[in-house]
Amino acid sequence: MKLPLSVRRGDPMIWFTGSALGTCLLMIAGLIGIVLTNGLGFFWPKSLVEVTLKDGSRFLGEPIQRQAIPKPGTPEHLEHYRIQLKLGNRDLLGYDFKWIDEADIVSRRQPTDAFYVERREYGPLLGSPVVLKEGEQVVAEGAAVWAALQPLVAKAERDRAAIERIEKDGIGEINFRIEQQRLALKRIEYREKQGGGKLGAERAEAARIVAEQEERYRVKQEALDKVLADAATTYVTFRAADGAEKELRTLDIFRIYPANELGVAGRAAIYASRIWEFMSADPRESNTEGGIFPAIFGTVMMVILMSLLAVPFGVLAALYLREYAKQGLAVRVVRIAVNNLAGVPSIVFGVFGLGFFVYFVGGGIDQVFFPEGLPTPTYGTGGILWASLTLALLTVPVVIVASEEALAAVPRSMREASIATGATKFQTILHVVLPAAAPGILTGLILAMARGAGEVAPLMITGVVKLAPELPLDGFFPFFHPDRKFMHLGFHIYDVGFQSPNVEAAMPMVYTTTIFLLLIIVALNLTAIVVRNRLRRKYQTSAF
Amino acid sequence: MATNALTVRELIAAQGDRIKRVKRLDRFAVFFISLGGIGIVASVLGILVFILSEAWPLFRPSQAAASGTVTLSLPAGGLGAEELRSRRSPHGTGAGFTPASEPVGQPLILGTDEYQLYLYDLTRNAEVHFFRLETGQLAHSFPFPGLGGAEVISASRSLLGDFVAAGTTDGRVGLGQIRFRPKYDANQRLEDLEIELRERGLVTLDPAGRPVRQVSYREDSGRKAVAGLVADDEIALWHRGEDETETQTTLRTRDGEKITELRLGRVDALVAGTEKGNVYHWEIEPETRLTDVAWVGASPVTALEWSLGGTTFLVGNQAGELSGWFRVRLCDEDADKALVKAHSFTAQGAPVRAITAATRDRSFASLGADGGVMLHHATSERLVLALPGAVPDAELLLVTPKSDGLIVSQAGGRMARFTVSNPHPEVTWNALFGKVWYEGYAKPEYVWQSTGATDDFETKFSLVPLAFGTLKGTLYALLFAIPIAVGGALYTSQFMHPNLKARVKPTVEIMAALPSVVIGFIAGLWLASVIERNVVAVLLMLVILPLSGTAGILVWNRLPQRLSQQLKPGMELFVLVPMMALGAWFAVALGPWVEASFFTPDFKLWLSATFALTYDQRNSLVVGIAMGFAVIPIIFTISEDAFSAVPSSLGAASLALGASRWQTATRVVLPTASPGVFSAVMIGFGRAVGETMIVLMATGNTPVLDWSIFNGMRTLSANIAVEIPEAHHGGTLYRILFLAAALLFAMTFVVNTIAEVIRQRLREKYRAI
Repeated sequence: MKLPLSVRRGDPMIWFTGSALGTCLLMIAGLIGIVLTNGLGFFWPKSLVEVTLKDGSRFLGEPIQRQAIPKPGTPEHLEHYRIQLKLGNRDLLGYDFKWIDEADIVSRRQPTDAFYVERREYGPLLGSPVVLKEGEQVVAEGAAVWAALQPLVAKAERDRAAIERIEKDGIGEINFRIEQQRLALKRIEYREKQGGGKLGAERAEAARIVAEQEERYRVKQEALDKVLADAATTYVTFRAADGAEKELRTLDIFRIYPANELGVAGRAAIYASRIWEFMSADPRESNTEGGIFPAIFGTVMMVILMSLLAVPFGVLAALYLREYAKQGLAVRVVRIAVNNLAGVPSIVFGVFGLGFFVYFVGGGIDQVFFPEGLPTPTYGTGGILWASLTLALLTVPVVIVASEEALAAVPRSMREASIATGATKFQTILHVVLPAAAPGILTGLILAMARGAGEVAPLMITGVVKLAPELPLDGFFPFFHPDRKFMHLGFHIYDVGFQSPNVEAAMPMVYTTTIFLLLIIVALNLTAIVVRNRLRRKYQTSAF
Repeated sequence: MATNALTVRELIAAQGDRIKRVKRLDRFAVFFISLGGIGIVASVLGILVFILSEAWPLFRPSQAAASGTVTLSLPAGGLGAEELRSRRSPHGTGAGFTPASEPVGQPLILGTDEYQLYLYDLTRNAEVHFFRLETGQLAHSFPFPGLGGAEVISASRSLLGDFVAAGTTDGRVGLGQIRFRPKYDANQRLEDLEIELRERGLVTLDPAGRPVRQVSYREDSGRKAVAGLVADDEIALWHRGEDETETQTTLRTRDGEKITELRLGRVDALVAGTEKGNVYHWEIEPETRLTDVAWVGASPVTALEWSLGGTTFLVGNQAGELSGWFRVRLCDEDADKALVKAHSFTAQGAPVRAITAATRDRSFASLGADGGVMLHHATSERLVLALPGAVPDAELLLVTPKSDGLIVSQAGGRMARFTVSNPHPEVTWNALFGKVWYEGYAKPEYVWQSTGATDDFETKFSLVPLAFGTLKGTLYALLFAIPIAVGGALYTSQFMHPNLKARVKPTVEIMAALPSVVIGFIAGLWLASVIERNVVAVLLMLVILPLSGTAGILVWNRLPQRLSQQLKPGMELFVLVPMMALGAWFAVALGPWVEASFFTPDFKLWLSATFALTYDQRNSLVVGIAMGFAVIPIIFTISEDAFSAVPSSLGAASLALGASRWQTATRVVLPTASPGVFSAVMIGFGRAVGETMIVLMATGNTPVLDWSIFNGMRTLSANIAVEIPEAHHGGTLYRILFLAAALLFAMTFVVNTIAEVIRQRLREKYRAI
């Protein structure tokens, strides 16, 4: 049999190579698809289902997934299905999720009085409201509770905001001042020990300030107690599907909605408010609930710091290599070496950052400037400054390479014209070459930022933590605290996905966090690509 | 014109200052930019230097320096009759008294505290003396509790906890413990130590009342054991278990072999060395039994000691040979463990007189009859220090509790002190890259296990399993990535419609920007469980996907001309992708059926029954796919550049001669661009070697030496990420991790440089064409 012409021509092989590319594109689409479907759907309020099982037990929950039951070696293998319900009520049941064999289900219904309650502790509560009390007095019962509860939930939000204001701004500031005085006292002690004589006056001053702040603290605490007492008078009792009852302070209710009564608009409103909360709030419940604001903030802040450090140095090195160094073998070797540094594993930079910045430089700073705090390190431990420096080092090769290319792309004629008008070399560089190369340098910067935003391994050992109580930027002098540890989206993904005590509940959070990280990175990259294309067009037209 | 020229000159003159300033600025810029540029380039390249300098102390030889001799002295005239009685000659047998002219009797044992403030000894008159180590002055003296002036002829001190035993001439053994409690002044500085000698009991070891010639005593968690040599071939053993039952046993060697040394170990095991060169090993719990008799060498055993942890014991003999032994189950089927000689060390030049173990690690010091002192590490067999003939007429040897010094006693109460700087005794090239015989292992192996549950854990620092894991992960990743990336690049550059090409390249570039933490997370939490449920389907895809592609082509060729002409060349992708998606779906649907028919009862059990392989959820298959995903864009982009850069005249010439598109691609373009493809693969290799987050998240991080695709690995990079936060700054683990980082650096740097040089050559070649 003679093979068809197309086969002899090698067309099937072309198809094979095409299928390689197809696999590649399918994988990208698959990854993005998985992240989007898992991440975007999480905040959409779903209907609640109540199932009654053969043994009479009842469960109310959000259906999560349906799966064939593997029973290898039996004829029933993958014949029957089970469903996974998100039950909430961890404090009542001891677990959040349950797999239920469909064969065990006697009946299913969607009760109209089923509510989904987001609260301070133990994850969501699923049940129906029974009674609303103010102190001991019953305010509403049964179906009337929902109407009476709505204004209280809105009030709870205001109360929480007020409490947070007192805690963060008022008490936080007092704590900050007391902590400063504690350090000042340590400094005094240290100086006394160093033979500075007794510093009684300074000691008394520090003690006076502490006493003053403690008095202020007492006042604030009283105000806080008052708000708390005022806010925490109303209680609502819910009944879960199995009949168990749980009393909640209305103050602790973050969000409540009748899951089976909502229309599309209502659901969309809840969806939007959840996304807003996710972006703007602090994490709760060991990062499995609440928002990721500190992580977004930390990521952006770290990337900015990194760029501020990497760009000047990268451009300086590129200027030297391209404009000032004598082009020869040595520069070629250096260029290759710098190029290859971009391929050195990031963890190696992390190790260097830990050994050099944290222990060597940071330890040195502590010895000289903060000896009173030792052995507790101030700068001799991971922090945002060290992490940014490490990443700057990691991305400097990227900036150098891109800037060099941009400098090389500036037409020779432009330089010659500038020199011919009598400008010095430096003036030429400053006023002609650098402006012309700026878009290219910018591309390099954005590529560096995209790489920096996605790196996690070096940060893990130079200053990222799973939960940072304070942002590196705040209202207390000196406002920017480069020694503080910080949170990062990438590390948040790793930490919540792999180190979380309750991975199942945290999983959707991880997907949503991933979307945010991807958004930041894709935005940076798209900008780089657009800028690069513009730059090319510009020089194609202006070339002589 | 002249006026004009004049004006210009005048203008220049008028602006002279400004021009000077500009020129100065220019000169300064040259200086500043050059200095800055060189500085930045140098400091970036200095990373490797710094990393190496942090790892370097691992291989620095240990230092020892004699730090003087102290002579212990008792206060003049302050000795009563009791003290005088103790002054018998070292080798006296119990009757004669030596003249009272000796300054200090020969001590039976020595000990010190961890700050090296005091030195204590136990003398024959049952007194414990505490001397200030700086001056040698007697500071305290306690009678040994419970002995009431009996004559002591043997003594022992435990390695940890300063448990002291004193054996008397009448068959009794007094037990005690010395405790040092630090006292601090107002500034939290150490002022002094409070000394206490606690009584721990009195044991009548030999009811017949024979002298206890040698004694050994161990106590831990309520259990006590005392062994004493009461005749040439007879050991009296007293033991009290956790349930407070006391047992007394008599142990004898075979054929009346004369016992020279005996020692109790932590796990209540007893070893004894004999004149014929044998060691006897008895197990004491749950019942006392002789487990092994092993032959060490032709000459008598002269020194015996357990190393830290009480699992390995060290033997020295008359010929100066030193060896380390422990018991281990050699095969899984063996009913009992066997005693093996796991380590042998550089020999002393003279008979070994004493061996003393260190308390911080598995180092031990040995003393030769010629006064030579050696320091070895038991696990790595490293000769840490050798001080030949350092202390003539040496008698006892003591390693200080922080392992930072040695004290050797000489006749006449002189104590020679040495300071030792030996921060990383466990590291040798062989320990890092070779097989080492660890406690509990049947044979020498490559093991990485840096921390354990207890302080006396034997650290295992072989980098081989980690390097192996790195290569294994990289290999599977490249196996997955190369065909897809190179095939895709060839298609994109040679066959694809230009309109599509403009979209595909940025897509792949976006793929390159996906952070590895995202890929790792999807791989570890989603892909791993999907693959676990569909292993068979995934394996089927290897066959079905190409088949479905082929089927697509066959179907396409049967289609009427009118339809197939709709598809321009280079738009095959639109048919292929749906066909492949269909093939993948088919494989998933077929998977359970295939599994049920061929792999009973299911794939995992079948795998373990047929090939004795275990299936880990996070395995190399997952890592291969995930890390392959991460390196595809790099290989794709660089090889696509290489293909596209092949001068189009070459391809055009080939096509003009009648070659098909495929022939042109494989016989003209591919060979010309092959160095570029090679360098793409090298750079992909470099990226996979250093990838951290993906392997951290998508494998179980167990350091195994096994090529199986169904279990995981631990790579150098993931190991650094996992362990460096716990590593003590400046400690052995910390430095080894820096060494691992230096290895990674060197590996990727070399590979990338080769790739870069090849690429540059290629570029020049194209320019020439």
